[in-house]
Amino acid sequence: MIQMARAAAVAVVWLLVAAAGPAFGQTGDAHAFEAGGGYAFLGGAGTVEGYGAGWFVDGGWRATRWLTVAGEFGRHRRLQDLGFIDAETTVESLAAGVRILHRRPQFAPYAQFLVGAVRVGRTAYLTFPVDAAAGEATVYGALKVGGGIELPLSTRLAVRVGADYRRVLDAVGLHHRRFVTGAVYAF
Amino acid sequence: MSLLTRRAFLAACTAVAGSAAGAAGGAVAGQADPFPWREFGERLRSRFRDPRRHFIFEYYPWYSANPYWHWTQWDREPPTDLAANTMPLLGAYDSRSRAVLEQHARWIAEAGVGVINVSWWGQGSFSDRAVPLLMDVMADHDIRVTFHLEPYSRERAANFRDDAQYLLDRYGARRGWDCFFIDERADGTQGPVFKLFSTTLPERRRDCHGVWHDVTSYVPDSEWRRQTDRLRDTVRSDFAHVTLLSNTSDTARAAVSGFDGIAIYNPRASLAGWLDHARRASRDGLLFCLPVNPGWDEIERRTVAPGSCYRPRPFVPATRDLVWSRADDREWARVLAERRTESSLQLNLILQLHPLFANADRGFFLAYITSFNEWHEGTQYEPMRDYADLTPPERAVGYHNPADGDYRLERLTELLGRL
Repeated sequence: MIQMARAAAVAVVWLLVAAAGPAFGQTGDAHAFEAGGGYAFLGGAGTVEGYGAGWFVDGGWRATRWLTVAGEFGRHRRLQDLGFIDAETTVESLAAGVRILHRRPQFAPYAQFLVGAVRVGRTAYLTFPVDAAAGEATVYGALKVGGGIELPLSTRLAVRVGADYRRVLDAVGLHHRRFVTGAVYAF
Repeated sequence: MSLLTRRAFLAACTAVAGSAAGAAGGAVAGQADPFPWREFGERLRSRFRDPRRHFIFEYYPWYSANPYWHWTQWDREPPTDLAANTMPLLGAYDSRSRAVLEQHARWIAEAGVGVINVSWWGQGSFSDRAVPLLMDVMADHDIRVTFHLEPYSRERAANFRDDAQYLLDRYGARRGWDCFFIDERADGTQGPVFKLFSTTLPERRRDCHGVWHDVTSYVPDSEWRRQTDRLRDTVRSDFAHVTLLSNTSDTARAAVSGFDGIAIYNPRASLAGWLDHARRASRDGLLFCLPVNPGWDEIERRTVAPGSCYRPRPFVPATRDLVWSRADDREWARVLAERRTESSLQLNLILQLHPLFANADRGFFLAYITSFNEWHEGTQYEPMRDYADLTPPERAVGYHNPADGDYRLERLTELLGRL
């Protein structure tokens, strides 16, 4: 186990060293691809109140230094004890759109606009007096606007911190708020 | 963390209780009860003036002893050989006997149940003629009466408004509302309740040979909608609401048909499906009722035509093959029925009072208990005769009577008493 942790640490250091070079924000080459991912926290998921932990992965193609065509997938899950019944809400989203960046040497603020779909799953679980589960999932259209900041660690690697507002187009209109933190790697 | 602790605690208690009951052949002495009966009782009392009025026995007034009727189903020959897998304590009784009804009323009242749901087969039917005396007796014991409209004719949907009006007039207004059941919701609003059987049927069905048949009692949802709307228009000025319950799990069709809720009757259905019934009903804006029940022990046909699709329906809860001549197996059936009663009552309390679902939100709680005296299907809580009291000819029939024929009602009474 310790050996695995050491190997992972070495790999991360190697990755950082390999990526070292001109600052990420200084280049931001057009026509490059990028991939990212990280943790995300979702609020206002409908049935379940509070924030649901989750993750996201995304990819993009830099059409210009300031415009990236982006796609993203994310998933959140929250389980809540409601007294004899546990309620699980999962929110999965797939969206694509554009991200506009203002690249500066030390950081790159961005804004993004994405359109896509959200699959909201709601399941109730019972463990007493019988084991039972019941639920369903529904797919809705969704619009997402947001922004944040990318902090370059090297020419290829940056840390991203951001927040989104997502409007889920169900019958009543769900309002999702999302906070993300992760890493972006440029190829 | 508290979730895991609670789960582990409940699971451990259930497992211990189950193994202890199996080993001891029944009683779970000395086990802590993990279910907060008192809390649920307090929740009921905080919402409803008289919780007894929210527990309803399904009641069948269709037995005759002169001549024998219903006791004779599927080639049975009373008074020794009855259309029941267990011999009733009262034998092959007559539903029109005041003495029988008096005893029934005492049992029902002592159990803590305040309402019966009478199986009703149309104006002028045997069951309809039994109602006046039945209501006289029930009124004397402070028990209310409501009606379960059975599929008694192909025109019953067209007659629904008139039939419901007939019941309200004849057994409600004309008697000064002495014991016609009026449901009171948590907000204090009141109205009658009608439960309907076989309303949401397919238009066609395929039999075991793969042949399609028209379902003769099929009624389009749009027709039910017209009739349920008509009834509401009729009683609108008299009641805050009328609650129409359909015996179906198809919540979408029940909603389209204008019913206010679903009332599952089938005691054979797995309790594991109830959570989904509650969820779907709530999703579609409907109320839901689920049957407190001891399981199922139905008589079998003795004559089956060649090529018939009839198959005996198995004992519920599912268990190993039971040999009814063995006392141990009869007692095992008792243990299973007691457990089923407890679980189905607990699940009713959990689901109907849970804020996640529609019933709690709308201040509605009705627990139908299937049944007081459906002897053919073996769902009855009415006392059976102790096995020791069966005569030799009765034993030769192969009855399933347990050592203590009163156990079901005793158990139900004890559980309701915990609330």
